[in-house]
Amino acid sequence: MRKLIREPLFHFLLLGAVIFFIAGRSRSVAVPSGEKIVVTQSQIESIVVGFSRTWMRPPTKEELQGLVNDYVRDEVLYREARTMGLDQDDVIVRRRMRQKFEFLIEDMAARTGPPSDQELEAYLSQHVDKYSEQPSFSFEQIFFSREKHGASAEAEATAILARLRGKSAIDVKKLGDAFLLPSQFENTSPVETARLFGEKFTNELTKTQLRTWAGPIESSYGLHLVRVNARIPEVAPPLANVRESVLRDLLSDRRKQELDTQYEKLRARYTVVLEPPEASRVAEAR
Amino acid sequence: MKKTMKTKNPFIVLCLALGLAGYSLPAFAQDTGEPDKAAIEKSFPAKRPYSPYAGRQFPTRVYWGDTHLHTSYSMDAGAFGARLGPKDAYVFAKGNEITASSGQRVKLSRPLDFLVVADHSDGMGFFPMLLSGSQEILNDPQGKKWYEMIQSGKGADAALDIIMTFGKGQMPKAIFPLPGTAPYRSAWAETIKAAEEANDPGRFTAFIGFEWTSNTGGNNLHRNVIFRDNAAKASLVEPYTTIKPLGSDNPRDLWRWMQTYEETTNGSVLAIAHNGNLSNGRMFPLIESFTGKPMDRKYAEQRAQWERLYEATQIKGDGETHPFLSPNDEFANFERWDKGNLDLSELKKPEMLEFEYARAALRNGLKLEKELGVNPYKFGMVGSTDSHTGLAAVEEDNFFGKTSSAEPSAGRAEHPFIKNPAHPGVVVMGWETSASGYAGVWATDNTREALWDAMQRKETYATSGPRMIVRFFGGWDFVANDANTRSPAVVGYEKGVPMGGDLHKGPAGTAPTFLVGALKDPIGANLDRIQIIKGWLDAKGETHEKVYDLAWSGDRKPDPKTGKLPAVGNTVDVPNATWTNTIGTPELIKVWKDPDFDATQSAFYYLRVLEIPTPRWTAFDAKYFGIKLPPEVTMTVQERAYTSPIWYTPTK
Repeated sequence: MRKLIREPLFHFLLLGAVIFFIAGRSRSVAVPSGEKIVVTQSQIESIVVGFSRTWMRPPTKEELQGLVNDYVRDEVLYREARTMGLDQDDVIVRRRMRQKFEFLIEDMAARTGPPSDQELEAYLSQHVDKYSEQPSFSFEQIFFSREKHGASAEAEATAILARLRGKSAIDVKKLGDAFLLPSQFENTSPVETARLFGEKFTNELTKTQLRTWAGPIESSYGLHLVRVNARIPEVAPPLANVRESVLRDLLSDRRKQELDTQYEKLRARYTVVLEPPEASRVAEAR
Repeated sequence: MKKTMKTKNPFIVLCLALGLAGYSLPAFAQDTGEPDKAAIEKSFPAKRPYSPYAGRQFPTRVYWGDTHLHTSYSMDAGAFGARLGPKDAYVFAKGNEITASSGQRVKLSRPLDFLVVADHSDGMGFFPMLLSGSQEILNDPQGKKWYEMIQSGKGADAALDIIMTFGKGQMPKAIFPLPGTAPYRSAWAETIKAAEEANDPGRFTAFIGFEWTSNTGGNNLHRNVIFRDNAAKASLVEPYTTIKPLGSDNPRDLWRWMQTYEETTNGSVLAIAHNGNLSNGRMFPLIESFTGKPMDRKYAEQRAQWERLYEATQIKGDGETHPFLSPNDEFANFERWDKGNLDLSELKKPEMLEFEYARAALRNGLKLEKELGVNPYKFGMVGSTDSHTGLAAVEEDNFFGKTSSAEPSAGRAEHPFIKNPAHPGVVVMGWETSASGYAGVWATDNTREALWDAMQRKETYATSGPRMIVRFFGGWDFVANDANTRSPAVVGYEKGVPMGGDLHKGPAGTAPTFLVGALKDPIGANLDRIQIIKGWLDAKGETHEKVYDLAWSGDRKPDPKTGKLPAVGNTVDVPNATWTNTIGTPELIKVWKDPDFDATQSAFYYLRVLEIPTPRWTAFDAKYFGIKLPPEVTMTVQERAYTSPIWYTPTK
């Protein structure tokens, strides 16, 4: 199906159908008898190709006659149905038509050719947040459980902080309470830190002095003394590292833009009259 | 054994290797000169490095995900109005705000770390095809009927009819996408493509997968199949289906398919079963429903090999245990779905329950191991959503329902969810759907390989939605003080095995010890308690179970008569759908020794971690929509986690 949709011939026929459709709308009388259906050489060719693709051989004479008859039947009923307006107010037909039109427009967007390096660079710098390596921390933490120390947890932590800041060497890994998260984090993003410890804790980490024990600060679990050993700011990547994603996103944006622009152009040709809906048909705003 | 199994301690591997080289194979040709102990010793430092994490390969981080999500590519999801495809599902799981099929804006509180889009293999891509009103659809009387129903605004009726028809195995062949046909191939290719594009090693893992939906007679034997591999291998096959002659509804045939996949591609797959509660006694059989014969060793071996995990909780009810099976467990009655099978064509009988729930299966597994020499039910636990909306959204205050027609609306709780004309009085109501669950995976990295390997070794746990952190280690020499060290996990891996592991013979006269700990969800409710559930096989061949309270908040004392710990209390304000963390505790940690251990009896142990009561999704609905729900509707919930077990097997 998708392949067919990408066929230029198909687009040509489709556009023809659209024009025909629009023109047809103005007629309300039935198809006058005597109208011609011409089955051209190229249509027969395409019927033969279609058959061969499925059956791996060309059709026999009888089969071809059957196919042509079916094509004619299709065409007669299609024309009659359209004249009677059976395609109107049909959700499926409308959806298909809209979809086909949108495919057409998307194709037009694709036809402008692959973006140049400059265009990619420009796109990257406009959306640098999306591709940047996130900023990160490296930090250590010592946990103090309110469950264990109750109201004195704060005092306990402050006392330990004084010892940590003092001159004498102490074994850091013996301090504080048991805790299920690691005591050391390397290059951890703020988002990740917030997912583990909560927002408040993460905000505090951005403020403390580097390589100095600080706190106590509160997390979702209790109190912590922390030492931030490094803060790595957000880094904008060179195009080479993210080329594929930038290209994909740029093309996808282009397609969307093209859809919107074309739609706005078409939309401008219409005046929309909106009758107010009956009050009972609308849900109350929430 | 699977090639992906890793020995935890690389040092042991090296010692073994050196031992072999040095002694067992003296004639082994070598050109590195005479081994010199002093020289070799230098490469193995006597003291471990200062950093407790340096040189270690154990997981320090739990990754959250959903192993079971449907999108519009699943025919029933599409029929119920899902318009989001696999691509959208991944975008949403990564934490982006999107528009749900019902037109509402939706976003997760926090991104997930991984996702498996597991659409039904039967009829994959059927609904997009039906919607398009293609020639094949319109040529078929049944297809035309459904198409016209949808067109005339009766989509929901069409959906139910499609599901019923599929349940009865009466889908019209002409319009049903079968493996080998173009629509089917294209749906599978799109599924793979979406996963490949969303997969971002180190940040987000998008697994390739599908659901094998064996549902003969409405009895749920569903399995999700998850690939460790990328498109290059997964594209070589098309998902296994249940409809004969291409597919089969017998799990043995699925396992054969999995084996063939691994052998021909050198890839890796695993399968996770779910909703035994809707299988009417067929999910964990002793007697195979397909043959009526007792399970044989071959079945046991294959099940143990391919089904390393079980999805113990999800939207269609909790699967840990049932009050009938665990009468002494006051927390057994949780999000219970026990009215019948999946389409309610057959009602539940109590004798079916033993073959439906995880705990009973773990018990029967010990029994079967004794008979057959292999334990078929040696599975770990995960929770997942089974949502059919493309949205893995199961937090109580952000529950987007089982189907797109059950996305938030004033009427969804009181709308019947399953009914069957065969049993007019029996209905599963919308409010009975459970906002559950997620899978927690202890992996070394966020990649397909690392997460899949962790699933394979069962280092996983299930939650009913919250993201609490749970650690569980078993060994022979944990001491009380291990719970006081700053990094209990380090001690846990040093002295024991993690969840999903095995204990064999310990020192004479000792009992197994367990180091357990839990941290609350950082944005969630406090914890009530940690329990350990033990099941064992006695000398007479009978199985038993017991629930022990291990650690709990506050200074509650177990009742001296019953041994039961008093309830934690309840702060839920139902009308306002709020609660406070004024009860419970943010963290619990403890070492426990089995007081009733008998070294001759095989056993399993797993943890259940309970939160304090919080408002259920129904309370959030009632508050938001300003509606009053009938008294039978559950409005509070005690969310929980189940870890994979640790097994003890006596050695002869």
